[in-house]
Amino acid sequence: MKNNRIFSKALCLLIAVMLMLVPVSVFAAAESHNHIDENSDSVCDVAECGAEIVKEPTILDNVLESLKMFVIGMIGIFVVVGIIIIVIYALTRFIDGAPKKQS
Amino acid sequence: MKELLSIFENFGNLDIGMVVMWVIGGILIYLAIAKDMEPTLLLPMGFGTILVNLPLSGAIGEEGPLTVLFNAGIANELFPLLLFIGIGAMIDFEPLLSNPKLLLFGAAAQSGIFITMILASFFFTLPEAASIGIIGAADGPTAIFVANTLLGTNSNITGAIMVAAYSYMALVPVIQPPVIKLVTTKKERQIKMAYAGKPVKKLTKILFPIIVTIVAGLFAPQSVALVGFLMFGNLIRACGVLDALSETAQKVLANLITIFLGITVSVQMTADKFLNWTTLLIIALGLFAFVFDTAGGVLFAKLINLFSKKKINPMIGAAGISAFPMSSRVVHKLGIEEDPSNFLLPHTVGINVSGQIASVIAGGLILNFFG
Repeated sequence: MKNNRIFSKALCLLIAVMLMLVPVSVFAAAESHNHIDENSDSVCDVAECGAEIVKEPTILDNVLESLKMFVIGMIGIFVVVGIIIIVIYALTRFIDGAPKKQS
Repeated sequence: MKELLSIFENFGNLDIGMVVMWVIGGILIYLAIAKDMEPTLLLPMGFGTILVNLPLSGAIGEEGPLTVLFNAGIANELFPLLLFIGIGAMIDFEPLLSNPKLLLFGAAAQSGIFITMILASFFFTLPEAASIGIIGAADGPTAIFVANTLLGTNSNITGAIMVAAYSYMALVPVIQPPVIKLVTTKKERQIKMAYAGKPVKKLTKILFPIIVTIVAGLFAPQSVALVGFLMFGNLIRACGVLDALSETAQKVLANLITIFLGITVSVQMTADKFLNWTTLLIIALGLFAFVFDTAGGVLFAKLINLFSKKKINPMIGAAGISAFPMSSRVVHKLGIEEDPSNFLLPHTVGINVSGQIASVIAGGLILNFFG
């Protein structure tokens, strides 16, 4: 019981630290975005010469992309699982026949 | 004298990192033997860690037997898939087939994968973040399969992902109860649930693995290997005419692959790859994934309670992680602690096997994102 309480506190602390890292990382992401923008001026000179620019994804790009995956992924899982549920019900109905009415 | 001294030559190649890895290997062996935590995997992994961290170890390197095994069974994802045949043969889907709605809980409990992926994407590239998130699948073979497919075999973080995945699976009885208690009230934990399981016909049990494979394959083609091997193992069990094969898959095949998988995974656990801050971060993120899986399942059950007249015990949502059968037992035990007459096991087992299916689908969907 005591161990559980200590673990709960440690867990809360870990989550709090993780959550605190979020704004820090967003700030870092914005900073790195600015850096790329600054650098991109010099790259533009090269671009004018016809070179192709391949921009590396920033932290913000990664986070936005993973947010998109979160939404699509969870919807995807529920859709697939939903279809499996419907199939199981249909299968049961097909094999067992319609449920008998209780008199 | 010179020849005698040459015996000690290899001591010069020893570094502190290797010694630290021996200690880590020793801890894994201790946890396996003394604490009975996933001994089938942690013990071979622990010993393998020591084996690969000996200076100039002959076990690894181009022609080292562990590297040969790694290339033959893990680099091409063969071992995790073969293990899935054994796992499929072990699972009885009857509780799920008699109450298919339980699958929804399995789906909800995969939220930890994606939430962790978002968090990991602050520190890692997207494929790395996805591979770290999949620790939340609470399913070792899926984690290995996805991480290897997305990152390749030379990634420095694959070893840490595998260790985190298997360690947290072993720590489910420690991780889940406090999280469940944090997000539920005592009154909620005392909700009694009656079980009215219907008998399931053999034909349903036979058709189920075939249909699931087709449905999952149509929506997430990358999941076909994972789902297919799992369901093939289950078909061997359900058909009723291959008892010898079913038994072999459950015992001999699963044990054999587990031995090779455990010791071969340790190829990734050399000091140069493992001892860094990234490993610690991955282990922290892995814990985060398990916590959010558990919380996601419980919160989903609470959401259903908002709309349902017949209240369900929200704790059963936590069994949606695929650590089978540990998670179902943990939740059942918690239910008994709150009310000794509350028998949640039939519900939690059904949800636990749902988690197995949902985690494999989640792995397949993630692979699909990256093409």
